Amino acid sequence: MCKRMCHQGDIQGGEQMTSSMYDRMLRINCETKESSLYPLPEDTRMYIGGMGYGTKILVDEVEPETDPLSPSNKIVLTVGPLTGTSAPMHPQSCIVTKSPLTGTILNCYAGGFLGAEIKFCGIDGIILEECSKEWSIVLIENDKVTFHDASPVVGKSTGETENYMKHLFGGSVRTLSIGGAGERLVSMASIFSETRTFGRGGAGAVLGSKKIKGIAFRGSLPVDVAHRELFQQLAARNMDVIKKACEEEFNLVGMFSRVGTGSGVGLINSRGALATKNHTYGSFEEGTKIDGYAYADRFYTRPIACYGCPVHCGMLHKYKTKDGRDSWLRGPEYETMFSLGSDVMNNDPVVLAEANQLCEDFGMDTLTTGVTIAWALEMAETGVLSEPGLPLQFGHSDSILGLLAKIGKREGIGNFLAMGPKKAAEAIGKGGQGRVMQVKNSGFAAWMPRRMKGTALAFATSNRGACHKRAPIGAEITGQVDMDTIEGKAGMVKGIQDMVNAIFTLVSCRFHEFVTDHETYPRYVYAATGRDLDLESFKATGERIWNLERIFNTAAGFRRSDDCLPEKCYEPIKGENSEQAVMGREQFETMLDEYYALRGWSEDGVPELPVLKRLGIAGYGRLLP
Amino acid sequence: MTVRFQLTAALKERAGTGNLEVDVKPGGGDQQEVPLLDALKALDGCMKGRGSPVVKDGMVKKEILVFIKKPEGGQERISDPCSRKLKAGESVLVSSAMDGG
Repeated sequence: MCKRMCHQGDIQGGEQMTSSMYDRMLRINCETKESSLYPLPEDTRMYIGGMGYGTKILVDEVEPETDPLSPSNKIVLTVGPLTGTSAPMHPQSCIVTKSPLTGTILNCYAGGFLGAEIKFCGIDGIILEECSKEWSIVLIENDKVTFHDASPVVGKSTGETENYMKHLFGGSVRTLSIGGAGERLVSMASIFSETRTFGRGGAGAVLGSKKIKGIAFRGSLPVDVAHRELFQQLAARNMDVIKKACEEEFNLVGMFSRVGTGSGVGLINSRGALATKNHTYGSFEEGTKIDGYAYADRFYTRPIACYGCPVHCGMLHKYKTKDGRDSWLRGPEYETMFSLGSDVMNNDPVVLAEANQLCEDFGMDTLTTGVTIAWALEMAETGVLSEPGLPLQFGHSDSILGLLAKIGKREGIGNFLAMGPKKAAEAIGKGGQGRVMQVKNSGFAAWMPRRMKGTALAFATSNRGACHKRAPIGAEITGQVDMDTIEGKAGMVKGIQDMVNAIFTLVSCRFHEFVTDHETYPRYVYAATGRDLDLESFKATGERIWNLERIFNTAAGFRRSDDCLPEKCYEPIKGENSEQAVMGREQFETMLDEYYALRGWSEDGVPELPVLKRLGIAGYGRLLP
Repeated sequence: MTVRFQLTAALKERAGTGNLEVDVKPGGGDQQEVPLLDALKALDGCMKGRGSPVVKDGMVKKEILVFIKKPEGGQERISDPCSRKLKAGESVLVSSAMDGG
């Protein structure tokens, strides 16, 4: 697994690493094709790595009013102090950029093997600047960067692009790529990295705007840590805990290990929180036909793992397509079982598999794309939308697959849906704006805010729009806290947002926290980098990053009025299971007021000087109105 | 009294079905209610495979979620089944834990 863990004196030039971070990034100008090593200053390194580095660099180097698809936007791709080491469940890398979908700062993540390979190049990441004049593929071998003609794969899928890069450069490279959606600047375009995806927020369109079709990495440098014995003890103990959890029949991680993230559909459905028919109902009668167990029962399934992960929650399924061909599919994940399953009333696992594959081929986020389609189908049902030659009906396979293809190609109705759900709704008017389930143009994840009040607040206040990774979904869905009440939710949401941001500096898989106590994280940071933080300081790093993001978004024009829920959230959910759950307007505003007060922000959601001073970022107040 | 169980996730996998009805003898006194713990033990008795998936030493196992669903609506999470009786018309949702993903 960790064949590049180094031995004494192995380091390039014989120099002993004192940290698992190289403290330098490759700055790559896509226009001039020049690159240089950028040594990271201490005021960036104090952000630990991963999301911390990315956010700091983007806020420092990109004007908040920048057009996300202009040469002035940057893509900052980073890794963290545990990437490429023996710490289990830390395969991920992080992209930070300005989102063309939301107009906010964006952070998104992908697992697989890319992160480790970036670290093996002897860098903590890359900063992509400007735009290439012609479609290019970039090869990065340690600190050497070369550009290559991408014309053979322009218009091709992400999978075909990946195969092309491996054919061109050798099978040992690790890659990322965009599909046709990224080339055509679809707002929901994702960047795919082999078995995983930088899914949310349209990073694929940003890469497309730079005319970069793919990037391949090959590294040959070792990774060391500051305190080897301590690190090995922490990693070994962590691995034991995770492996034990995987062996337990009823442990969440154990379920993921056996059938993937789709194992949870049943519980959420029973709790009346599985959004169905564009968030009209809270449960889907036929949910059992498309959950993880259904796929495991019906199709030959084998698990796939990310670097250094014993959970292997990714599932490959072999199935027959509707026209009778044998095909393999990775996924769908739980979130896709909602967005292209229950939310569009699709009960057919083969159609769901094909929809998932279309998103992979075109390179699109299944979440926001599915939510946009669900809205379009509701609009068709009420007579507002139609498309010549294409039925637009919930549960109709041609509708779902046809709309996906049109969005990926930006054809017909797809061209306007490609703007994202809120912008499409605003363009059409006719009362559709209140029916589209999004925050800041980013589609809701698979949890019903009306049913889960803390999750509602998390979605609304998310810096990147409707983010489920920083929401109290576990506590609410398991009944540890009452999902229907608002008491204590503001504090809970703030705490989770800050902690998850801190964890994403490492860059942990989100599931790692399910099996790891929080005190382990600063111990890992010390063992890996020598940077000595207690838990409170570690969390404060997360809070600092959250406020930097908020400053950027405020300067880009976002205010309290954008931390809102669509009108449909103020209507009762239909169906018995959800008990007609509804968000009250006063309830929501009360939670939001409490949240802003806890954050130290004004009533309009603008960070104020005292909190910026406490966090050591008062200088960024210059960006605020 | 017949108790209706709804099972999800790994519990459903173990039971082989998502819906089970189990006859549970009332504990004495009111014939229209049964101790929840007795109902869960009866559920364990219906499970395939070895061991009791739901109850250990008189408590619900920590990886197991138990909710009581009331006929008039509402779900109540139960951590300590010893203190709760099931009334006629109430059903029980039993699942293994789930978090975001």
